[in-house]
Amino acid sequence: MTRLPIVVTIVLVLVATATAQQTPPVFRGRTDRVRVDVTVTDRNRPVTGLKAEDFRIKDNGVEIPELELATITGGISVAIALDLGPGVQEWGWEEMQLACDAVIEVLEPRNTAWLVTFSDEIGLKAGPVRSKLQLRRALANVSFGQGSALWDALFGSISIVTGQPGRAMVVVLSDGRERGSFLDRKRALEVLQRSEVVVAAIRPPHQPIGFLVLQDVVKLTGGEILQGKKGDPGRKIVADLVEQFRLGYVLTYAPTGVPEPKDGWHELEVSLKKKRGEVHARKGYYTPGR
Amino acid sequence: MRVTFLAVAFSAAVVSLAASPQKPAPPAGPSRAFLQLFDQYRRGSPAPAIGSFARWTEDRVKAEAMLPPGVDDSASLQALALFHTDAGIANDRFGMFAAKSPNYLMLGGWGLESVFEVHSLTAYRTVETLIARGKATNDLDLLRFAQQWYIVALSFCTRGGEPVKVENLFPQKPTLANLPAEETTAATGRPHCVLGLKDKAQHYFDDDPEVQLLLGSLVEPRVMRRSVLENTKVEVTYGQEARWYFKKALEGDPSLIEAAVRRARVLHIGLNYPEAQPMLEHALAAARASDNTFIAHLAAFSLGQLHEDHDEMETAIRYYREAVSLIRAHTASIALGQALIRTGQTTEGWLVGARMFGREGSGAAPIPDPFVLYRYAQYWQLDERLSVLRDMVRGR
Repeated sequence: MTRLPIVVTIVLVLVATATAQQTPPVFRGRTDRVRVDVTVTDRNRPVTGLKAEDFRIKDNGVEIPELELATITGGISVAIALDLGPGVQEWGWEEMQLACDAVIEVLEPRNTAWLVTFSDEIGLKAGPVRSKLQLRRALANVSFGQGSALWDALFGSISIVTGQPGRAMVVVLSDGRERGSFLDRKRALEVLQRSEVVVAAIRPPHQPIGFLVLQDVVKLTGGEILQGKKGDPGRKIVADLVEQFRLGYVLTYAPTGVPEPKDGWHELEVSLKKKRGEVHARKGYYTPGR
Repeated sequence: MRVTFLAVAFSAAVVSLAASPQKPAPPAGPSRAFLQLFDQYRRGSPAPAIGSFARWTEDRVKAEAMLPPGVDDSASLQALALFHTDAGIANDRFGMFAAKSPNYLMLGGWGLESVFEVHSLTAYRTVETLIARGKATNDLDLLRFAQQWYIVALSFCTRGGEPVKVENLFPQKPTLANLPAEETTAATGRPHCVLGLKDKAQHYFDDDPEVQLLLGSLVEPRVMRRSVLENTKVEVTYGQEARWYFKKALEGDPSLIEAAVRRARVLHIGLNYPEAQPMLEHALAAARASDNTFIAHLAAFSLGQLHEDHDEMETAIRYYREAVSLIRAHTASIALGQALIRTGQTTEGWLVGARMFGREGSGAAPIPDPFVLYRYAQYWQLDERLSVLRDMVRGR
């Protein structure tokens, strides 16, 4: 089973994103600043206590001279996207259910969570909630369906946590096969490139092959893929996934001296200068309005 | 669907084997409990009667649910057929095989057989009787009832049950052969019921516009996005049979705007024909004028898709907005949200996505999604059509 090494996210901060309907974000940056969500681990344990000067960020190949570390207060926002399609039924529904329960178990009272399910339709079964009981009740009442609208469910789940205070992630439990979404792969990935949310994925234990689409998604967003273990939900590993995300960092910088690319896409490289640890990061961001 | 002679012979043999052992003695008459429920269904409050009847076991239904000896007036037969239909739909077994039936039979083309569950089989047989009577006496009301029953039964059977590959259901559709598996799966619910009833509906009501719309919907390719076909060679015969049915339906009844939307969608998604756009624009205007929100939503949504496929994002967003303003359904919200995000309007795009759930997280039922229901023929009208049928049989 793959361990979650690190989750890093790089996100653009816009004051303009705060709307009347949304809670103001914890970190408030200037409109010309880029926000970078970072998680660092060493041998599968979160590395804490790092400072801004421990990080190196290259924006389209240009090293950023001055980084700031923002303090994150409050909890995290987690949307659980649970596949109820035929693939999950075939490849290990029981383990997926237990893995979903493990995600619920590790949430703290200050965290906010949602449960989204999908087959040929997507639905919000619970949320926003801070109660594990409510999530578990919702989980107990799900029923299988045809199809597996994975792209649409990802879009819905990311939409829900976007703009929430603190850091936000989506944990998708699925066999990774798309069946029946409106969105196709190309457009979905294009949209995800403009998202600030980390996507992590848990696949069924008995699934021998295939998971390519979700591999692309987690790579793009700085997430990680776990595989459910036969007869064992791998509770600790699932718990680590959320914990490592929770203990991450938020860096910000002004992209001074970074040339504006024609297509608006900024490739990002995030690394540590003199410290040991693995860093995962979003692959980049789009210039606002592009 | 036409099956080969051998398949028919084999199926007939299997059906006959499945049905032949130990024939029980015919029941003497209905039970008092059934007559009370039946009377409540016809003259009282139908919902509780349907709920109770739906919970009966198959054996109990077979033993107790029938008209009293000597009663075979058309009104009673209609009510009986509909009571069984309602109960089968309520317990979600309508169109499935009966318990202990063989798992797979090559049935199709000659109606439901004794291997089907009791409610759908009884309703089907009763409707057969009514059609024969209606034809013999030229009773147009009876035939209208039967025609509406076929639309309800077939639409219900297209949804629910195990996913079945569409090409197994309609193997004569060459344009589906090269599609990715996920595009041809997850579209069809109870194929044996659909196969059993489709040819019958065609046989009895081939010249009826509503049935033509139904038949077109059943054979319409399940491809919902043009991008799916990017790497597929699409023949000009794409969706030909469906297009023909929709055209006939519109010729027979121009008010069937759904047929126009479906025809335009096939023309655009499969063939990228320019006439799809004016057809959809006309359908949108007509649906708005007749307050048909569901079809107006579908027409606006389809226009959004069409313009997005042509990289006219501003116009696409305008139509997606219109669709969402008519019904804030999930798919239209996703379409609008992604279009906004991809054109740099990120904040609004994600907000549209978040809003599509409404109060679902607190237990509220989701808003019915026309894009999802579109795949299941006239399933979107199921409640309305059942209500109309009940009005035809109740109180008589």
